[in-house]
Amino acid sequence: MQDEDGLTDAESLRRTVAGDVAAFERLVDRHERVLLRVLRQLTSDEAAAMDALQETLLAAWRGAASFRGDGSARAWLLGIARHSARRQYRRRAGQPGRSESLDTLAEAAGFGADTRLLERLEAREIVNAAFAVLDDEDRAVLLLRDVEGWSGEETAAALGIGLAAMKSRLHRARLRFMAAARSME
Amino acid sequence: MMRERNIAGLRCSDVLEALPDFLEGILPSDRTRRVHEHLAGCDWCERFGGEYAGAVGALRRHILEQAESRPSPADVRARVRSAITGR
Repeated sequence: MQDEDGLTDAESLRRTVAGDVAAFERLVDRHERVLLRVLRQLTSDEAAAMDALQETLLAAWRGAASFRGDGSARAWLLGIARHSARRQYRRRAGQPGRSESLDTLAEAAGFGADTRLLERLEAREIVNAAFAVLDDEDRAVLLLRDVEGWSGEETAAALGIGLAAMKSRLHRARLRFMAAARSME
Repeated sequence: MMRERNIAGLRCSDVLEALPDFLEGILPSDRTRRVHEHLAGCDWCERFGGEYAGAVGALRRHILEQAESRPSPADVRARVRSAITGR
């Protein structure tokens, strides 16, 4: 990604390593919105999201030299943000097991049942509540792939996993989201 | 175990597994044709596929709308600037 002056993310990070604050701020300008959208969803409240954003930006400034120029800078930033969010967020108790079969998840999500899930998903409060009960791994993959529309490869890089593992996690996260929405009164 | 039908040489669980790539349009063409044939003959999969795609759309719409209405973090940016410039 680059801004209107043609300054690319990779060049911004090279200049950041050399201590160029303006280049770093332009990089942040390009990616702040997505970082904040994700952090707001991965943390428990606004204050925690702001703390995580600050921690992310400072870690990016200090760690700019660790960016590998052949990758996506926003995936690299998101990786840092997820670590920051994890420090602000304690995984909720009582989450469904990670080893459920696809069949079991699909039944919970309404396969074969005569439900009206889409009508329920018209209500923002149901969507928010269903999303909120997911754990941070499920929320992260849904946010990057489905909400932000990142490619599979970039999402996998941001999550630090392979493409096949990301696709499997995404499918299960979508089914858990549907199951949670069905269960909301 | 999930109730299953076998239509067009695919079980419902096969369709379920293929659903993300099918909706994204990246399933191989022969597999895509068979999923279409299965969906045409299976109301369970046809309805569930529609709900699955609709759920993804609803999630995107609501989360993005919500994000647009939130303020930007000017205070955070000022604190970061101060920390890295030492001023």
